[in-house]
Amino acid sequence: MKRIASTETLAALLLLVPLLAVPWAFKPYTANVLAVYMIYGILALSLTLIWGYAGIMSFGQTAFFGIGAYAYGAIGLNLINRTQQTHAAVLGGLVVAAFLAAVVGYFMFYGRISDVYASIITLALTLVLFAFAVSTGGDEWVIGVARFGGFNGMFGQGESSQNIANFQIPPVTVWLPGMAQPFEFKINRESAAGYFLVLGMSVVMYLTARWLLRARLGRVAVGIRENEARVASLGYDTRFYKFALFTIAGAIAGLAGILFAAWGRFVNPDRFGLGFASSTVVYVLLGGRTSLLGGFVGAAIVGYLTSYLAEIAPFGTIPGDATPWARFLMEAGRRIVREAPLLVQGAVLVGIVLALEDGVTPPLSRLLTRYRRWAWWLLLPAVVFYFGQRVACLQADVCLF
Amino acid sequence: MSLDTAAIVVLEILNSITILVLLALGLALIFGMMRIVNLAQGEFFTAGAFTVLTAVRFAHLPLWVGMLLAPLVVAGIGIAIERLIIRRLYGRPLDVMLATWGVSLLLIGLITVIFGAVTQGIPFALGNFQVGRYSYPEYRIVMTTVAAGLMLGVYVLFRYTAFGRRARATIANPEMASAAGINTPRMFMLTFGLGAGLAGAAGAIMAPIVGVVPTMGVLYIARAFITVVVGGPVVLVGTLSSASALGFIEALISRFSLFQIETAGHCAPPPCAINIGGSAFFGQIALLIFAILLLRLLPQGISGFWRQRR
Amino acid sequence: MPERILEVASLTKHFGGLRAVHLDLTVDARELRCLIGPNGAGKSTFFRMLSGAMRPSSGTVRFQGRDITGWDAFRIARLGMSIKFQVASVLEELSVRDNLHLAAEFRFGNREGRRRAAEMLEVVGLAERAEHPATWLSHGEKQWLEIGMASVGEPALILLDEPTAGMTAEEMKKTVRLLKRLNEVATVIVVEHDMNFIRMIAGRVTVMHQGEVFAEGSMEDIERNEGVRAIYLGKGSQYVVRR
Ligand SMILES: Nc1ncnc2c1ncn2[C@@H]1O[C@H](COP(=O)(O)OP(=O)(O)OP(=O)(O)O)[C@@H](O)[C@H]1O
Ligand SMILES: [Mg+2]
Repeated sequence: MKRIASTETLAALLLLVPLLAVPWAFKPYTANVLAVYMIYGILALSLTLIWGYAGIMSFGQTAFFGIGAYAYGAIGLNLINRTQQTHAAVLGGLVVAAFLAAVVGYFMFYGRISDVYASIITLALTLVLFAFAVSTGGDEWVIGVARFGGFNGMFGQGESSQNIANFQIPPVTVWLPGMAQPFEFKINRESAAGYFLVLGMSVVMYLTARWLLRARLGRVAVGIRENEARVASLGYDTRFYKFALFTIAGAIAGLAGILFAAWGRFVNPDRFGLGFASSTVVYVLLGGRTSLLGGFVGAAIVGYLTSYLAEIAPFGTIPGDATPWARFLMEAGRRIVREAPLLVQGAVLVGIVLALEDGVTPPLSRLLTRYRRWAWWLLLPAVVFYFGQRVACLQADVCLF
Repeated sequence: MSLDTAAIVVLEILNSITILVLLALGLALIFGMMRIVNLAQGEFFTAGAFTVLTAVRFAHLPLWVGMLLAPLVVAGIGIAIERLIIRRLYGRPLDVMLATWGVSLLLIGLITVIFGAVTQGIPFALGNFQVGRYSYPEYRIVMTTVAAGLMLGVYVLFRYTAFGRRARATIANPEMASAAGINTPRMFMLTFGLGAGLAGAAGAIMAPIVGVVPTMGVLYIARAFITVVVGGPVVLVGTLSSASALGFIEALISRFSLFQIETAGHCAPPPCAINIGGSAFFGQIALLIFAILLLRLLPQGISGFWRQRR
Repeated sequence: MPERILEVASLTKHFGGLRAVHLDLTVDARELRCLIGPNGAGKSTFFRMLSGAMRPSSGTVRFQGRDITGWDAFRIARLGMSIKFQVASVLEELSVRDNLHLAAEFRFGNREGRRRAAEMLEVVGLAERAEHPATWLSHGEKQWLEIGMASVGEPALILLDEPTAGMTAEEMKKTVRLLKRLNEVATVIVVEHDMNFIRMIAGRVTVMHQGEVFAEGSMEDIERNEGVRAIYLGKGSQYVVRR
């Protein structure tokens, strides 16, 4: 027990030290990118909770993410100019996402449809929401001043046709009694507050999930995954537990959606799309569905890989004197790189399922447990030193290398 | 409602049912017979459409030749995927879903690499006919005929041929069937190939009336799955009854506006109002909601319900 | 007259054309009843219907004076009936302690449930393996864990489907002691094939055959019953009463 606890502390330090140092150690771009990985990580966490622990596969967890983002956007756009804060928008986003999950969960679990059907229903849900969001391009699709904007995504428009200046979804903005002015959680040159908000929420959600799993809800959920009939015969209304966990997971996905809309100040139908839905599954599968950290790890790996692949644009221009064969190969290479995100995701899904791997996080944590002494005395100081040096370099121009 | 309007509505319902049957038949076959969910079915549909496109545009073959080729090509792809991937995963239904999802993404990626991400049309030469004041595309009647033909073909195949008997035996009890000398892995492979081929045929038939684009499968897959889930485990009866129920709802909601919601937008001729109903995507939403309500009552789907009652 | 805890009236289950179960049965409170019968007699199907895991085709079940026919499994369990299924169905990835905790928790809450789980660990002799995942247990240990899970919630009626399958003679004796102990507070119905076990239990015996009650009485009566011998012998020699 003690060994596990100390490994956990170590893992927490190894993750949190760099993450806390990032805003001072790197340019705002890095904090921005990490923030979105963490947001996807929270979404993946919600899937881990119901898939990894209760055995309910939701292919459409993105439906709750997207609906949370849209609800936050719609309420935020309408209220920001009047009240200068987004309290109601955050709450509204959470409530709407949880409500949708509760309704769908009620019909699925109290109807006792089989697990396979449930996965399909959730997938259909997000795809239908995608179709819906896409077709809201017309002028009539507004809630107050918030325009759905179809493919282009949601934005605010002037209240009258004279005042037509458009504006964006607001960042999370807090204005509590006693505060002189509202506080905006942004990520830019001046402020990393938005980054810390996302980091804080990631930690809070991780701890919440961990607490849930240690409570009765979690034990029953794992029992349901193992043998639902058995748990029912012990006196538990398994429908209710599935419903409750699914609703909670929906709310967590909704929170991720809210943070996403506030982070990019933008949301469009792609958040409901098949690509995003499959990414979420890939994050969990790659990171490891039996580990609550898995989703974060998976999101970071896939996110990094995709942005790396997007940056390398091979064969900038194809030389005019290239032979037809070389031309063909270069063109093919270029197209393959362009489609790399999809191809990589597809390959990861097939590969992990066939190779029966349980993702990268469990082996990593086993490694850490095994070599924890080395990690305490070498890895952790190295990490602290590296980030300390980066901070010193960027903030005070004291650069060692 | 005048007579010609009524006739058009009936035709549109028929068309909705046709499309759902075309989309769901192969999927239902694979699900009903093999108890696995093939999430790559949408891309089999896409592959069928692209086979026609290739035949017509690049090989300059007649349209009907392309349409006959499509199911064969796609059945071949299906068989390859069954041998390479799905075969290793029998008995693990969730993993089959994940792996076929991976296959689906890989196929979308590959088709995009080869054909580019543009929407292409396939020209064809059928006109409209007149129903009172309305004109109606003749091609839709062709589609309905083909859909009916495919269902009949599947029925005959499973009911009256040696393959069908062996397939049914395999499905009922794989161990017993293989003890009786049936090559069960081969039966699964052929069934999967057949299901893929049916999706290819659907893609080919629908190619001329939709934009052919690598992501087209995604647009239809949700409806196909809902139809199969609502239909339940008995392939033909389930598909037909669920396609009929859902197609009916979808066609009606797509055609008729239920009510309007006034909004505060700045529309070119004011006032601004959202029509609930009366457009294709409200039809889809109605379909999903109706399906979820139906499943609350009949968790095993329509055909499962009837089978249980017996 | 003692109170009747279970009254089953023309309880029937059809599987397609097969009538797997069709019987009437009453059990008194605090009884230790044995249910025997050849393979396929319908014993497990009967248990599944009692516990709500399967819906009967027709007939009624009254438990503690209430009609529970067609109730959901969890409601029946809450009313005080628990079951150990024939196939071992412990929750494999949960620890032994968590298995018991879960079984106790719905009735006694978290804390008290934990305490009772710890007690039960002692009773079934698995205290040393408390933190192991249940999947590590041997066959016999899993059976005990299941018996523990079935009894830790202090049910009024415990159904045990073949609790000694795969046990050594020594383990079986221990199980008999365990059952007698459970029977001090609860009614127990136990399905078994092993006649030595039935003899050691020494309760009233009901014989099922082709879904119906074939005979009922003390073990001596049953062993003398020619008809019972015939149905066992007819099914194959492995069911000849072992001595
Ligand atoms: N789910 C089912 N579907 C169809 N038939 C079933 C089902 N469950 C049981 N049966 C049939 O019902 C009959 C009774 O089975 P059951 O398992 O209740 O017998 P049993 O007395 O418990 O036998 P055993 O001593 O082998 O455990 C058998 O003929 C069996 O094949
Ligand atoms: Mg049995």
